[in-house]
Amino acid sequence: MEAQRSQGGRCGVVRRTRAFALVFALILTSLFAVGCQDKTDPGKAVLVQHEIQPSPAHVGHSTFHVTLTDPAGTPISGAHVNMEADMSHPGMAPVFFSGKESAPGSFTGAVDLSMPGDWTILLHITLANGAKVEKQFDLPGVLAN
Amino acid sequence: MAGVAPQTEPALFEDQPFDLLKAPLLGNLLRHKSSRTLIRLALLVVSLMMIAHGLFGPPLAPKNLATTLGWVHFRGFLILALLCAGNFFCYACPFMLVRDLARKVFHPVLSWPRPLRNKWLPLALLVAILFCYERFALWSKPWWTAWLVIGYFAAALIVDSIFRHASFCKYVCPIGQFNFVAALVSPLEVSVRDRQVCSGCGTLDCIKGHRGTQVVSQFVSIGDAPVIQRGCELALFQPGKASNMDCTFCLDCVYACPHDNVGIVRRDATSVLSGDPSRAGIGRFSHRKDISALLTVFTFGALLNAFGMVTPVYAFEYWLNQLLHIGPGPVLAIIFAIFLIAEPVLLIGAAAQTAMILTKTSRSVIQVAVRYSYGLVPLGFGMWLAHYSFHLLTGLFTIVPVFQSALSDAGIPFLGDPLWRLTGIPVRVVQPIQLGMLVLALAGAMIWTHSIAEEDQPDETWRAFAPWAVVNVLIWCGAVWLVLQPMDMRGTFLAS
Repeated sequence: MEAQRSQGGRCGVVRRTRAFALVFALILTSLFAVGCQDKTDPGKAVLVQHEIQPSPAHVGHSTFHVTLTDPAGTPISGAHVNMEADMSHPGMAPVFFSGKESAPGSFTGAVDLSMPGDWTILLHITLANGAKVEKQFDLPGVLAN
Repeated sequence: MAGVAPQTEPALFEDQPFDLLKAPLLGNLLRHKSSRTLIRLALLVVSLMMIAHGLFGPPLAPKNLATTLGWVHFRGFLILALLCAGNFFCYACPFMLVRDLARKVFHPVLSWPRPLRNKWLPLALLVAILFCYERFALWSKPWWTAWLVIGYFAAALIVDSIFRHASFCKYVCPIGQFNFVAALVSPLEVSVRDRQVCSGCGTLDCIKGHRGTQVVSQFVSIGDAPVIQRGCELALFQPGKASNMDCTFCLDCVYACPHDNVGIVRRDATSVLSGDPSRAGIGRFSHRKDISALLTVFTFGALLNAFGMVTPVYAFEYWLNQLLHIGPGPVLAIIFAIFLIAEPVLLIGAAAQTAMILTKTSRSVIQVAVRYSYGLVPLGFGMWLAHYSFHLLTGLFTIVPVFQSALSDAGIPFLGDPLWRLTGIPVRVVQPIQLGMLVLALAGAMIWTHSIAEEDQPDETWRAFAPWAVVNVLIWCGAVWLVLQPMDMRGTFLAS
């Protein structure tokens, strides 16, 4: 009777262990699956080219040029382009600046990068028809002066 | 009333150390066992939010809860809590809540393997985390930060589901080891209030815990009675405990003691190393090479971790790359070897050797190095404090817009548009604070080292102390130089 009880107890532990492992594996798999899924870009209709001067970028005053075109290569004019520069490390102060349209589809903004390191430029674009598009570029290795 | 001693009024300023558990309100809260569960539950919710936002939120680190909370606020508040009070982050550890839930299903019977009952494994894990942090720029990767948190939960769950007691905390957890070493300088310690009471105690509940009435059926005994209250799972028997090493501040001993004789008392941080007694659950510090290695890595790792975020490191890495024609991984491995092996061996070895010559001691270099290496802890703590405080203070309010944004992402935008312009205290204000911290750290290291020398060489204290004082000053100069460098965070150093 003792042996049966002991065997039953072991079976119970094995069952619980398997069930627990299965649930844990399912959670991990679903996290991986969702985490790895493709994040589609809602602004595919807007192509963006960018350039920073001086290049490579240095701490201090820089000029950021952005060109917006549609997939056929036609400049997109009349948009509002707000730009934001963030460091790769969290907790650092972002820098906000806006672009002025100097030619159809061509925008220029002045930015003061406050410290060396990896930066990311975010473009918050509002098109003439009110549609909003977000774009992001890496600006690695900004140099100290 | 004959035979009864006359009662005297207690002295107005009785010489009793401050006891946090006797403090109004906070003491009552901490004494309540459910407070610990509630705090752990709150941190579990925060951890789940970090995981969710790290996996599914924006991939840009400054916009994500996982990276902002994890690498800016968690680390900053952790080190400040250690400075101002004690190891309260281990007290609030959410991994333990999950572990305790799992132990309602699993009842581990195995003991942690004897060869691993030391700090070598967690030391290796601590170095591995520091290495991965630099190599893979973890600070800039919310997705990987979330997986690091998940990995932590999984590790705690697996280890403590297989092995008894707090094996994960004592022998595995790298954050726990960091906290144990840092808590050596904390002003509060979980300790007995009156040792006389302990000497008359027959139950030893603080270490053994206590069980309920044994459940016995009509025919057969059904195992042991259930545990009503655990004793210390880290083998720290209160009467023999003498420092915060290995103490998670879980307060199980407080809840278990039937005499209400365990408190969170103020202690003199300068007396931590005095006497080198055999400490419960630890032994003598002077015999523990593993703990000595751990706190050496803690100290020099503080410099290394800060070195990884200043401009000169990239020039050095690039130079090494050009010289040896090796990739970023080996370059970083060489830098780690320089900081965590070559530099400590050189400085500590030279100081130990010089002190031996000056004092004509017959002990081995290793014995002297182990004994005096404990004096470095305040410097290491000061560097971590200066580094983490920098991020916390300069980015103090960044959590507000990130939290607003996370709620918006979750479809609950009731806190309004994120206030991305909120940042923190300007660098020009924070830098003098950092320098002040380092000055105090140097003073602390000097006092600790001198007290070790006083105990170790009462007749030749200054000869024993001088070489270590030089090492302290050298490390301090390095720390000050690092703090004065411009911050430069890159994950792509060899691209320059």
